[in-house]
Amino acid sequence: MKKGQFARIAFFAFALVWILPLVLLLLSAFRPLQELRKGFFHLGGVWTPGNFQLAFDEGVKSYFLNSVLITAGGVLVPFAAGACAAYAIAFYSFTFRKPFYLLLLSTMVLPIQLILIPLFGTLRTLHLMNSFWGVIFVHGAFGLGFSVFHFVNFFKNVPRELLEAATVDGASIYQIFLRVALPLSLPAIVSYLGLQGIWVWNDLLVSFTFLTSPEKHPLTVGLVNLQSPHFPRWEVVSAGAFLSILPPLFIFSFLQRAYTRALFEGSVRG
Amino acid sequence: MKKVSLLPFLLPALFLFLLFYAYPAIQTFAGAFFKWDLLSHERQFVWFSNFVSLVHSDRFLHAFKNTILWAVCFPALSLAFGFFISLFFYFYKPPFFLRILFLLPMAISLTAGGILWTLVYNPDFGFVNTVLDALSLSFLKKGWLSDPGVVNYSLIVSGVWLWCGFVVLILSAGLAGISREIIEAARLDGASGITLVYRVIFPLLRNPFVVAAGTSLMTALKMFDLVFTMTRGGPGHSSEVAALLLWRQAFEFGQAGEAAATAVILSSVIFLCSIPYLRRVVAE
Repeated sequence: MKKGQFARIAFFAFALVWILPLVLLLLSAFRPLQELRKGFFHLGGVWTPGNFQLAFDEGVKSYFLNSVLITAGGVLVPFAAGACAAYAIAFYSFTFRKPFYLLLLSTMVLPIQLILIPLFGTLRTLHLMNSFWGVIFVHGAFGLGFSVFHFVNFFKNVPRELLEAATVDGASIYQIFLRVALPLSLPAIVSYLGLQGIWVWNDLLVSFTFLTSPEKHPLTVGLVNLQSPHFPRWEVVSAGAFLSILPPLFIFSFLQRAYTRALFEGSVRG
Repeated sequence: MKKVSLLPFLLPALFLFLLFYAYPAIQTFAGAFFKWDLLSHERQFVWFSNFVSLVHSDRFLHAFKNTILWAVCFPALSLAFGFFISLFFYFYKPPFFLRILFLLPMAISLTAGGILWTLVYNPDFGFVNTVLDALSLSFLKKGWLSDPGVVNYSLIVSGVWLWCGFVVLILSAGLAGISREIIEAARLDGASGITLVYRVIFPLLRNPFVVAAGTSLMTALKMFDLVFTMTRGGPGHSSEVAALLLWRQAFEFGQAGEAAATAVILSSVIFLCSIPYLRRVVAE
């Protein structure tokens, strides 16, 4: 077992190296800039939350709130639209059911760049330029395929007898959806909210393109603004970056399993 | 079941899809054949001239070359590291905190991750150059993000770090499905180490590998955030990729027609590359 011991130690060292970028982020988020400038191995200096205060002064607080709002909308809209459509697709038959499903799924494969340019005009016509709703609807449309796919896959495993029993009891199709199908799919809902939430929270491109005024920017765009290439204030940017990765890390640690399953559904988008 | 109107269930999705997806997508395809100004919304039909001018543009060719570099190196490195890490997970069952170390980066946005790696590459206090100094290898020091010959590779490495967790998850799930008995049987037959991995495990993991390679490839082809955050495509245009050039054509240079043409080319490439992966996913 000596060989195994060596492999373990080597892997442990590898893991330490792997995580160093995150350590570097901690070092620069929690210490004054002049300490950071002394080099990576200089660990001295006071560890203070002062950089976060600086970051808040630079608008990170409002960036954070905007991120929360955009994420909430960008998750709920495709969830509502997708779960309804998935319910119809999974349990009922209608004309053009299959083509409709495949069309929705296409949003999962094609890149967002395909729709980005004309959306500029569409959003302007609808007066949704520089508005959270515009960004939310774009996330809604682009996230639709994943949402429908996720819920159809889940609904497929719901026993049809349950629905038929409810119908016999006189429940309407709406009641069955709200009282039977949705409560049964709670695990699927939770994992969907988490996965889509991380996706929207981490998005740069949509918000950057369609939100023009800085007071509406979410964290990702805010970080890019702060990280001006000519005069980078590393301590401020690092504090902001640190704040921005906390929520997704938190959600992710809960949803590790769901992540794996979703990956096997083939539902990774980009 | 009784016939009822399903329309209320389908309408929201249909509305979102048609207005914010299908209609813009069609406009992009059409727009590739127009000289198109986004602000005044004036369009003039020009046949294939957008594509022709792209093919003659050095900047486009350069960006596309970079995208191809991404498409080759990014999946290859991600799969190599991911396979190595998941094999270790499988055989040595490391404790939870060690596993999560490798998975955490995938929850980080490419923007925050880009900032992280800009720190790593920082010429003054960054990790890479400081370590090279400490090892008295100062002659290897580089401006990792300012040297046009290195910048693409620096970006790809940071991308791999952020992405690798996905690959580890996919391959680990695949490995978990291989029964230990098969491994034991192969061991008894005298297969060890590399033979075992190459002859037994590798073939059994074909499906997960196709999924991992497919998603990595698509991610590489679409890469925008990381390049934009770390270098803005610089120095010069040396790290500009197709997705970034497309954005600039549309929103900075006012050449929406050429941007649409780039988008059509990029989307076609992505679609073609995703076919083997899609077949695998649909088959499951």
